[in-house]
Amino acid sequence: VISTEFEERLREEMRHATSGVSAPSGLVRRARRDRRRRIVSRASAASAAAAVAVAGAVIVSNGTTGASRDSGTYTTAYVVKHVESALDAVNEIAYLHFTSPGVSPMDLWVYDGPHGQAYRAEYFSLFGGQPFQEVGMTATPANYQTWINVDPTHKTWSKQSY
Amino acid sequence: MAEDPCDGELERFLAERGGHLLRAAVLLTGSKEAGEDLVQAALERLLRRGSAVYGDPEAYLRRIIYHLAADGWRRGGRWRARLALLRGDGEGVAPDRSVQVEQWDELVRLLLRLPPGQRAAIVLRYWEDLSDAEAADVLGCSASTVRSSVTRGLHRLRELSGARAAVAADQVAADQRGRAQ
Repeated sequence: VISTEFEERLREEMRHATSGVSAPSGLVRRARRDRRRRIVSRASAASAAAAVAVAGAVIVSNGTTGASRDSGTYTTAYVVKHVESALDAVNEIAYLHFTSPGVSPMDLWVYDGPHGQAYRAEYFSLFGGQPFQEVGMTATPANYQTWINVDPTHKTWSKQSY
Repeated sequence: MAEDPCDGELERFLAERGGHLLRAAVLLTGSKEAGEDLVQAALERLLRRGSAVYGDPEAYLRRIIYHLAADGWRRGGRWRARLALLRGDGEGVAPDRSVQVEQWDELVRLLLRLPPGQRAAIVLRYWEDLSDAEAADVLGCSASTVRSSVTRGLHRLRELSGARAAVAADQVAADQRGRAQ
């Protein structure tokens, strides 16, 4: 292939424009951390939505003190903080049990791995400990999500995929 | 944090070949920052796939980088916003001085004004030095599509470059007239 002068100039300019560019170290670590953050924020958003549905109250999204006594739910920041540290410790899967005086206990599973992401939260009654709400989400690597919401008290459930 | 045992291997690979991938990403996106974002997004995909693609991470990463670049442009996402900053020449976009536009070579700047498919084909052909067939394999299209993208892209680059040269010549002439008066 005979290159024209114009094509040679293009090659030369591309070489010149990228000559000082080198890859920073720690790219893999950063990619893993960012992925984890994404799954945590997705899980916390779902947690907030589920908690709102359960308690009928507004989640304090900027709260940091754990269980919100006013709303009777866990704050988003509280859940995020714990999920983040749990994922840090075990890398791909985390199980957390949330308890706080006056607030319904919650079990939370978060998985983030090569097969996608999954999140499951189960809420238990303060009195008696019966499960009264369950929210689950699975996402494939291509981010096709399926959400399942189960209400054992009213014996109803719903499923959404998108 | 408990690290995946494959992370060290990947870091070593990136230390060796990451610079090359990043330079391609910079040409595709228009800045080092956006290029790093692009490489990192590709890495996240690789980590999601797990060890299935660890055997040949470069081929996988290169493919994802080119696909994501085209995808980001089509969706008008943050890369598009960043690329728009680099245009800064009469398209109603104020130049962003934080992006070192002035240091870029003219044709590389003009490259950012091509449609993403043409830009990707040109970077693959003239920077990666791949054949039409190899570039087609990366982009997931036919060799004839690559050829036509490259041809149209080069034609457009020539037009843009010529227009700039004409504008510059007019400006010089106007300056000379101004000084003469």
